[in-house]
Amino acid sequence: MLSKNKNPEIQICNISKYFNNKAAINNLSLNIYRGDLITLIGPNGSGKTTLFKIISTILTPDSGTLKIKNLNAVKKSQLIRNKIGFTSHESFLYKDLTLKENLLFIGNLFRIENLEKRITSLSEKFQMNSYLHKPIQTLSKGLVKRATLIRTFLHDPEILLLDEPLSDLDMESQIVLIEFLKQQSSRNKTILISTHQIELSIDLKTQIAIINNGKLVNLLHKTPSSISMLKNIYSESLNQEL
Amino acid sequence: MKYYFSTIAQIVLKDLKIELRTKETIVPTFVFALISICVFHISLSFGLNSYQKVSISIWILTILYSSILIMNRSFSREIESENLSAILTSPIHHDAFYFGKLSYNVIILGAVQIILSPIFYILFEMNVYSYEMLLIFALGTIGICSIGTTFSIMTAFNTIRDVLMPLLLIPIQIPLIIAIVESTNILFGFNISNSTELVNWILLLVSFDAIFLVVSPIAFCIIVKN
Repeated sequence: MLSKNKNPEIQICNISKYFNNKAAINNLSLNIYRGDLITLIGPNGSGKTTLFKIISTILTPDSGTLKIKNLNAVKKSQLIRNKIGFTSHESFLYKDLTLKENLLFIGNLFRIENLEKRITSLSEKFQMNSYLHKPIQTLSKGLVKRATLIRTFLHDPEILLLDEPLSDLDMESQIVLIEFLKQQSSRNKTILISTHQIELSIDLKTQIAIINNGKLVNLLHKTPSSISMLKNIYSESLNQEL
Repeated sequence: MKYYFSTIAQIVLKDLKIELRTKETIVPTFVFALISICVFHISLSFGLNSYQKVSISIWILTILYSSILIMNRSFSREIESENLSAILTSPIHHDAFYFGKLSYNVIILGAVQIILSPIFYILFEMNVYSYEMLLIFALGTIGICSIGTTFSIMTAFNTIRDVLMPLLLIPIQIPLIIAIVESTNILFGFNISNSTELVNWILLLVSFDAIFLVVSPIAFCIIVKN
């Protein structure tokens, strides 16, 4: 909580985003501080991915302001982008290129120094060395997910936006990722994770932001009571949706 | 500036690498162009004693429609797996992305013309191998692709992009088409004009390219941002 004395790393102020006149994000405000580790929880279609896309500057909000590192994320998006790593449901990888070719391409766009070394170290960490020279289209879903994570972490971003990072990963890879995220968190990285797995937030000792119908319902700090409260809210919102 | 040009090179090399592996753009485009000029040749050889006067128009039409095929494919691989988002979340200038795509489209359309020209020469007995013709075709290719690259991102997310592209692209390219036709007619002696007029038509081509090389990246960046 000491960090709250400083300027927020990500300052989301009353942002809204509409698709076909339907609000995907509805007047949402949230301050995220450097080193914060927040899990975003909400039912399908609650606006988690849209929020991630807005923070990663892929989408621009229709109203409200978004500041990242005190810079207006719409006007200064180019200065912000190399500080953000974003993993989506999609791989963001070219299926006809090999994993290494994909990483070299993205790495060069980010002007990463010692790119080869960085690729080797990350592919070792995620046990992907033997797949570096294989085209993405020949890899299984789980391996593509691991490749996507390597791409996200390649430029060592200060802000990590991970949209359901555990989906498609086997147990072993999940453990590797959780350990990696703990390591990143200890390096004072700001991490936002969206997940349906409440256990992940318990494992990572995160704050929990509950989002529903494009609105922030609650922001909880990890305590046993807040976890049970979370489970209640989460199941209620799911029931409402059904 | 070095980073700007390196970004353009990275995008071109990436696209060429994928194209060399898949050949999903150049082969269908070349086959389409080949079929087109063969059909024109067969249909015209029965009706006209000398079809040389219309042959340049056939060439231009074939290249114009081939360019639409190329441009329609240009962003489709960026949309697969949301690769466009990967590029847009990197700290590159969006206009560098435009010039990368433009260069790739020019290379592919240029390659189609190079492969097609000997066949065109055999079928229509038209010698297109001269410096002046090269200059006109090079300027024409840049003009077609400069505006086409912007329209291709504009229509990329549209389900009727195959219909939309020619509807948007061809009307805007009319001054370019007129300039190519007039300059080539003068070159082949179909139009009795002096060399000053040829220079004027070439200057019109240059102006068209210059305008669209300035306007198109600006429009492209606005489209990408929104």
